[in-house]
Amino acid sequence: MNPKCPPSLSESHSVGPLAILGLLCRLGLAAIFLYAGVPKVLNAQVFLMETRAYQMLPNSILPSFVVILAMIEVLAGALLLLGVWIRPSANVILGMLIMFVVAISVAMLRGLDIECGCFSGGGQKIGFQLLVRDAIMIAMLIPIYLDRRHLLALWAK
Amino acid sequence: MTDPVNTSMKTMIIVGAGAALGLLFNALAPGGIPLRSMILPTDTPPPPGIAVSDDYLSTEQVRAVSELLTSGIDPDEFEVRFVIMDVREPYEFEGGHIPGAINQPLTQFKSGRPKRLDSIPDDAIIFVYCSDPECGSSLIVAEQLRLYGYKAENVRVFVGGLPAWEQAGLNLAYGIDPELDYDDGIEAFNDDSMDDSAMPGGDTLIEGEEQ
Repeated sequence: MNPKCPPSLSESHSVGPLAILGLLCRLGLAAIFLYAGVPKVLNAQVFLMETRAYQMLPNSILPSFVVILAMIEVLAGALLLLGVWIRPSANVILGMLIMFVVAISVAMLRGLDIECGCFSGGGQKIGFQLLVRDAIMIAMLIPIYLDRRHLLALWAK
Repeated sequence: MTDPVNTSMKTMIIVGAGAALGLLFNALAPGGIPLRSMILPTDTPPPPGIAVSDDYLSTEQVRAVSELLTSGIDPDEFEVRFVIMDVREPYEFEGGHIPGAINQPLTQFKSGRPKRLDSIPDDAIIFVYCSDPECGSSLIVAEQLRLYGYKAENVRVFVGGLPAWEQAGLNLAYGIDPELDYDDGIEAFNDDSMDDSAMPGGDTLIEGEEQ
């Protein structure tokens, strides 16, 4: 690095590995959340059944909760894909992932033998491997938070 | 660089916009779900070991209908059609069920309205049960039945399920339901469930095989 050049300036002119990694993680998470969210939005009935199986929320608020959650998954995924409000979108995704980890952990501790409800038609049972998967997705957020270059972003901030 | 206040405000805007869009889409889309719970008399099933409340069926009520259904009298002769619906998977049903029950697995509801419902009149009184008070499938199916037009007060959940039936010292019937339509969205799920020995009620089958 040229010592005369302030670090921030040099940073903004180079496409480093962090920028690439940030982009890949961003697009990857965007794809995952869109893939997971769109079928939930289109078929809320199935998502409602899957969410009810967790037995964590009262029936009175569960339907509203699932239609809202599904749309937030899609919205956050779409914003990440377009590169709009990247950090806020990453915050939303982080919040959802933490919620999923808590829900799956609680269900496992209660010994519920239920389907994850993560992706439509997955038929995947909840288990430790899903916690690992969520942890990987949380880790994918780190480069997104660190990256300041925001490649291929429409309106990063 | 990044203003944290600004970021958290935008975060909340995303959540709020998602909530508004989600509710709006649900209200407008043909596949929207009713948001008001029209579903269950109480929010959650009682935990195991606790007496089942009046809102749910007692073992005695189910026994009366089971006897009626197995009495050999043509069901069309009654003014009201009674159905006991076992919503577990076919292999669980095979390993023991309430006599007179039909097998209508929860999984069939995932691909839409099961064809079997065509043969159950709209004003039928349907008792739904599954493997135990925590299995939840019976509550889900009850809700589905109500969505498909069965009267809310006619769809009743036997929360105690099979364990309550067995605890009362009542007999089980064995074998598959001959009228179950296997082509109607079961097989796709069946393989998964068969692999999972931890599935509630799954051990019934294993015991049956060993004997």
